[in-house]
Amino acid sequence: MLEIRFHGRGGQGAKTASQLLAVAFLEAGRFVQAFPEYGPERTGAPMMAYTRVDERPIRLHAAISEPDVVVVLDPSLVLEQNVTEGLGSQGFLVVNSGGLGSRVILPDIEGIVLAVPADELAEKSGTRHANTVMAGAVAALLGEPSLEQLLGAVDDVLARLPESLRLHNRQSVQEGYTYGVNALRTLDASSAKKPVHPAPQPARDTQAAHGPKLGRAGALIRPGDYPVPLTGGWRMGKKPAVFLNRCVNCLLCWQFCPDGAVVVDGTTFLGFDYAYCKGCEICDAVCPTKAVVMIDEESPVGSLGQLKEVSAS
Amino acid sequence: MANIKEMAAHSQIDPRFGSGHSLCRGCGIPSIVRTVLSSIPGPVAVINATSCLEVATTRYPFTAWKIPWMHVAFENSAAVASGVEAAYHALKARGELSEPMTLVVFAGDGGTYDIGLQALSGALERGHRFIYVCYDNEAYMNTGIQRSSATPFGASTTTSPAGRAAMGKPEPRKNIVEIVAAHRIPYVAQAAMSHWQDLSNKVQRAYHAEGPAFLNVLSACPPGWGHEPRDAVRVVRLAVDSGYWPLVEVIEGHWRLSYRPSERVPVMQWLTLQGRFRHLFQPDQEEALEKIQTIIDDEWERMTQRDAQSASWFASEQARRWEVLPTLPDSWEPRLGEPMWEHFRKTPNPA
Amino acid sequence: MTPRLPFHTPGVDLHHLRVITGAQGVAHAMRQIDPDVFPVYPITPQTPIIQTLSQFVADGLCHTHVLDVESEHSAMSAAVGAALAGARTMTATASQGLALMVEVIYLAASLRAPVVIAVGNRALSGPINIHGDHSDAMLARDSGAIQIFAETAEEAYDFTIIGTKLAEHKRILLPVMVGLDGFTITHSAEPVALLPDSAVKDFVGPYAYPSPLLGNQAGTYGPFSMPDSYFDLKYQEIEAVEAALEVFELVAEEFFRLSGRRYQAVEAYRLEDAEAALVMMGSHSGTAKEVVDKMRDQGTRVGLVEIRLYRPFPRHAIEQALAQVPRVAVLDKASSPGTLPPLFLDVAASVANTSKLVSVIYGLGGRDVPMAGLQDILEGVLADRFPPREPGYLFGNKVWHKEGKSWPI
Repeated sequence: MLEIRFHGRGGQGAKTASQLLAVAFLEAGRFVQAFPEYGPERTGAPMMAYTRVDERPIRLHAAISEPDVVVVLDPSLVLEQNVTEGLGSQGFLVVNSGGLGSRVILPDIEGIVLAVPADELAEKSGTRHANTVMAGAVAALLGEPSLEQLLGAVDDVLARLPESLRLHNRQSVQEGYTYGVNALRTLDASSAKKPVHPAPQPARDTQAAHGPKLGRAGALIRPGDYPVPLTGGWRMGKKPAVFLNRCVNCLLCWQFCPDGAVVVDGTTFLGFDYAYCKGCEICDAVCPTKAVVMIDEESPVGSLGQLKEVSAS
Repeated sequence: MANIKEMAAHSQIDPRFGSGHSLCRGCGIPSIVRTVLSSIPGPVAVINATSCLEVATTRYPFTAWKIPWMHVAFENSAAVASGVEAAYHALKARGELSEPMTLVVFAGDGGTYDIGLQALSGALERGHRFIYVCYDNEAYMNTGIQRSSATPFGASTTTSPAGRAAMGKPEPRKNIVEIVAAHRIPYVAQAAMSHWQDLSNKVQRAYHAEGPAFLNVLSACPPGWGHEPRDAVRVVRLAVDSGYWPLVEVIEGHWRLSYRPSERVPVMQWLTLQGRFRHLFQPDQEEALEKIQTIIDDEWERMTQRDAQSASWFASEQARRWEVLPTLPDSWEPRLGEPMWEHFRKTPNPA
Repeated sequence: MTPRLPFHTPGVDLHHLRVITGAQGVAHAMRQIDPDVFPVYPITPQTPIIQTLSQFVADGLCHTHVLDVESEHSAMSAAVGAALAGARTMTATASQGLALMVEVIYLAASLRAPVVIAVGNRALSGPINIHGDHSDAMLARDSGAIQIFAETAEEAYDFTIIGTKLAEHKRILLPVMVGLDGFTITHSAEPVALLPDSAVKDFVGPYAYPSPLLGNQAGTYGPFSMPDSYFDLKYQEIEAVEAALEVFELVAEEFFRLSGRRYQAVEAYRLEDAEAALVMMGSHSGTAKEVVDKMRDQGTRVGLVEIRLYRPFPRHAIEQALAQVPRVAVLDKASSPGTLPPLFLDVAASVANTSKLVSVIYGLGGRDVPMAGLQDILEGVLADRFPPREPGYLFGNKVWHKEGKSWPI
């Protein structure tokens, strides 16, 4: 059995990618299963989807804890989640390097790791989402399903999309597939040097009982009992920053920020809390003086995202 | 009276709703919640119906709430609030509560217009004192954008999808404000997330109402409405400025418009920003577009008539006690040369 | 000429007793407990409970805020809100009303709201019927609520008091349903010994819910729970329900010291050397005791197991009580179409040898249960007349089993 785990954010199409591969594998004569894992989260929140492939009917209905392949659709997830959890030494890890290119932080594992510039390839194909590119790359790495089978799956799974968008997605699958085929050549050479561990470590029992660690009766939570989750990882390549000299302190950004990520001291605007900012850009949209600007995630900024005017004169 | 700076200061001195929730990028709900909670002096307890707000802010063991907060189910938030209010009076009579507490209910349009309508009606009739805030994003967003009775005519949702044989939701939306006003409760209002000062004023009137108060507040939903997250405020503002979403209040049964756009913009401007109306811009859909404009014009006409009829009451002594004097003019977006802008220019950012 | 009375003994002093219905008994208990909030919606045969209590309030005999809500769903919702907010809360319902409440009863159990719910057990529609059976209670069987069934008006009164203390016990904090058979108990007037008001108040004590919503501390009540926590939280609730087996005994013992009336989760009635026994709950257990006595008088060794605590189910006590009885008929006043009825399944899960059990469904929709009918069950069991794993149906004086032609569709 081959088990694939996708890590993505709500809205990035991890579920679609898992279905796409499943349909294509079916075309290739395999028994398949594809399923997402849903949480209370909304667009932008980390989520997972799974694809199982086997040569006989699949009766398992459990989550995949020891995947053979892990696909990461958003590079920021590498920092936010333990994406390689349960991935054995023979495993594949395929990460979308996004706009980060070679700067993407790849986990150090013994298996085969491949960074795919999927955002770039998607854009080249005319789509916004890297999911179909990644599906193509994974198929190429695995040697199955074939490109034709994948393209057939695109027509099937994305049948509701307008013709033009479907063509773009066919294109992006192809881009991913080609990238994977080329990468495989280099990987074959390099992976031969890698030592192979005798046996993978067993996956942690994530489903074990909480026992006495459980909170008060009735699931009562006191604020401060647990640190709230950070949501800064939801940003997709852009972050807000501010030229304080242009700011008139109207606090409209504070008012409309959905995430409480605008830092205010008393009644004075100070900047942004990147730990929580999800990158919705509302602050930029409502700023009446263009004091707020959206900049590349990687660009250097002062504390709280403050910027100095470079050419003030 | 709370202006934006007072609310900002208030939310630091007495934080009530915080970061770390998993609502969508560009969601309109948190701004409504913060504005409501920072416009209320004194302790507040919140009852929340099952909704996006509920699931995305309280994933066990995390919580974004820093005040007493309770969720029981989807259709019963007004009934739960009735029980809490009754308990409040019992505890108060026994001297177990030191200071008065305001009870606020947050529910979405599904939990208010549809499944929660019976419980809401019952609670309003019984006259429990609470502020019921419906954040209206015009569909069941929590379960994946299914149509509700708040979904407007022509909008495509996952259960009223546009297709070759359908043009989105064929029925116009329900008017919840009229339904609630028919209960003759002291205070009913319709507000919008874009118009924070208007919303804050209305919350303050609701706070002073001696009985139930109801606010229907238009939110924004980027994935559900199909717009960029950054456009959330702009989309809601256009709903108001086109007259699609009149900002009204019904005080002791008297209707008035609390805000009048200087000129109503054509509704097309609002529609074109949203993917849920995209199909209406196909060649043979002119009729549907005209119908939308007609629905809005008729509704606006009805509102202005009501507003005119109530003018004398609002000028009377009786209306005086509802006055909440704004410290800053109501404008969502300060523009150069406008009075609010001048105010800010005199006090630039000291940081 | 005076008519001759059939009595052979002189009358005794019964001045401490009052002839009231089960519903009135419950209302008296509630008046004495004096809950803060009572959200309620009228439904037969519960209505005399709330009418009586409302009159007590109107007469200034208790301070309860009776909240006349617009549905049972809202009644239970308001009850959960009030109980968690910090007020002692009770409600009452029956049948369709309980059906409407069930969603929120699950939530009450999970949120740990100690609400006492008096249930005038009535058949579920359809067809619509207002009379007594246990099908409504069975809807809430798996809800996490504790369920007690009363045999008499006296027990309905007593269990309302015991139930309050049980619900609010710090190890429990769960809703408690006190079941009294519709009409048979709710509307039948019987002698009831009321305790002094002050004794009841002292017995239940003040309402002291730990960490109420309207306390001084912020808290998130009823959060969203994912697969990584739901099961654990549910287990926490299951443990509390199980604990009620022990706490019921403690509270019942304390009540015995107060009232002289002793209650057990399971009552073994004349089981010594019995060759056959009935197992049942509710008002018809009284009739069954008469049948047992009569048959014993005629030399037939039969007995009865009466279950008062239905949830948590006293599995070990049942096992013990039935250990030496070779033939047992389990009587359900409810059905579960397509399988054997609920009480039978519970009993079957509690005994080592299930082949000695037969199932009989009786009294649905208030069908009368004459002594002759119960006697026919015992005689049938003794004669090994009943097929295994097939329920019999007690229509009138005879147990009926499906044979031959079906009933018209």
